[in-house]
Amino acid sequence: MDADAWRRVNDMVIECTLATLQGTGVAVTEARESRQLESELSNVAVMGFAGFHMRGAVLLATSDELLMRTFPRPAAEGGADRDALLDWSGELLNHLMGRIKAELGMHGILIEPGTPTTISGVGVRVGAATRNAHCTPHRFQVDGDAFLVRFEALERPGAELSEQADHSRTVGGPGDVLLF
Amino acid sequence: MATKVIVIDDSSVARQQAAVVLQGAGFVVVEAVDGRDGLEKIAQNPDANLVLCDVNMPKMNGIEVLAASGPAPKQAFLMVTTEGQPELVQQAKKHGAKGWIIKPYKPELLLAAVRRLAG
Repeated sequence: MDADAWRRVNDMVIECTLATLQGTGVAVTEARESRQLESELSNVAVMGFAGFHMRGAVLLATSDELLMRTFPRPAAEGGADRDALLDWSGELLNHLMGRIKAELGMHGILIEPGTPTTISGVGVRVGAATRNAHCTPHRFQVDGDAFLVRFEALERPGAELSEQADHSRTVGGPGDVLLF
Repeated sequence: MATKVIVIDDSSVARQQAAVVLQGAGFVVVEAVDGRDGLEKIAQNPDANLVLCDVNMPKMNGIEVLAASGPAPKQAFLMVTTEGQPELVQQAKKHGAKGWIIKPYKPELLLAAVRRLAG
């Protein structure tokens, strides 16, 4: 894949992140400045993926405040303790990965995600990417609460990101219900 | 008697989200934390009418749970997942699933699908 294809992959990751967070009812924007976020981040969710064309991982690093703001309303009635917030960071990443998988799939790149791993700490610092991997950290914010999404991938020689989306590669999008 | 629904998902928040919606509508909910636990809960609750089953789970994925439930599962299976890959949907249909919902979902749509499938 050439530089333009990787730019399009990065654009997909940004669009999928915005749509995922908007789906939780918050107003999210991409943060252009590259200030350090370490002191604000306390939760990290990571999900690996494999596939014929590409393998890698998606990482979501957030603050407790962001997780509380986006916590699903019906489940919030039961309260959101530390374990629930950490579980929600994994589920939020799962939602994001679902969108990324669908977008890449419609452009000819098929990936199979694993299950999320979550970690909490204080002043979490996201380390360097795997050697030779394509990796761009994307920073976003929700009313001043910053968060980070990192898509890291290694491609197989010959992998191609098609220009046109093939919508037959997915049965629908988030919220769709199919009854057989 | 209240209709019983088994919710299989490795995310506690996802299980709780579905449980709050279903219990609020009068359903009895049994939760299972992964695919293997789901199979046990299905065996322990033969009176359940419906299984809400995630697909991407550790130990056993949702399609494997469905397949292990036999060629004609006693309970209706509604798959609830972030996946929208046609091949996975076809596999679920082949093993007898009655529906597929792509997460995140609107609670009222989940409830409508559950009411239709649980009878």
